Amino acid sequence: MKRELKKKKGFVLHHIVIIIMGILMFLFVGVSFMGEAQSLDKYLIANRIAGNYMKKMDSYGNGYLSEDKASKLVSDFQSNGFTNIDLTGTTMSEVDNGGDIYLDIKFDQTIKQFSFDGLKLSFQSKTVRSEIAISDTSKN
Amino acid sequence: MPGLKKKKGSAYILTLFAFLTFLLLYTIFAIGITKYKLAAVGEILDNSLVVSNLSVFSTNNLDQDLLSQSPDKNIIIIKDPNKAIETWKKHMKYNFSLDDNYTPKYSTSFIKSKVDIKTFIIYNVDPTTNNITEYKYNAQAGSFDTENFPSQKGIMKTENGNTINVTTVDSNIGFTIDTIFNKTKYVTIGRDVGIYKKN
Repeated sequence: MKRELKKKKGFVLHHIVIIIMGILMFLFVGVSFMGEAQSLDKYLIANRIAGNYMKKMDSYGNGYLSEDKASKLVSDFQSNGFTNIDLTGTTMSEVDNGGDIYLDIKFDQTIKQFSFDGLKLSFQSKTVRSEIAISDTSKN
Repeated sequence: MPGLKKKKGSAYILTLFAFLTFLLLYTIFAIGITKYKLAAVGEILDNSLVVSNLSVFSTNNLDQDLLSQSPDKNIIIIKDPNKAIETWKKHMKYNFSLDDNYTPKYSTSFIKSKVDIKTFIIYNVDPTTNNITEYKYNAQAGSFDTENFPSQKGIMKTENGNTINVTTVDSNIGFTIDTIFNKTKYVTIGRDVGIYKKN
């Protein structure tokens, strides 16, 4: 009777350990995947914003990004959590009708990811420099 | 003794069951996230193709004489398909960050192979006759095959399945992307973009 009771305790403990390890592994994998998806989601948002500004430039913006629009674009990016926005390479002055126009946005994107410090598991923020480069022709 | 044997089997089955459950959950998670990633990447690449198609409608490629002669009729015709495809190629390479061999410039690109031009078709629509002239790019010959379709405006469809009512550029490209568990897949994306003039 005593032997059987001891075995049962071990049996339960064994399963609790498996379940806890499984849950931890699942959480780790899940959060890692989520982090990656979140980073892509942010990039997609940036891409949509950039696409809207390119439409404004090519159809009724005289083929360039005006200073007002540039400030608005930077503000839109900042409000979505992007920093250090650089528009170098963007067409900022009027081009001939039909000429090539460019919208080049470089920005910092913060990604949260898991990291191990010895046996200690922690979240870390990593900054990644991203770029969106779009070209079209002016149709003003 | 028989009781002991039974317990050993039960522990083994439960451990296996727990392992398989977590493996199943992990796989479902991985497939779900991969599906989301592919949809997001698809939207980004799709937008790049749309902008590249739009670039063809540069006034430098349009028949300005025809447009200015009868502005009320809004006859927008692409004058020279060879010039048009050069404009498209230039902007497509820029928008997909490709080099002159149509290979991604950066290892971080969503595209993992050379990009193949599957189709590039211009449908010139004359609204006065409802005729459509199709210029289909022959990549091997590097030239266009031309075909006329009388009274087909609003009837004929693009290769992507949309009805042609205005002058349209239709393109399809193919390349390899990363999918799940380090596997790659060859995919094609296609979009058609039309243009009309607002009165």
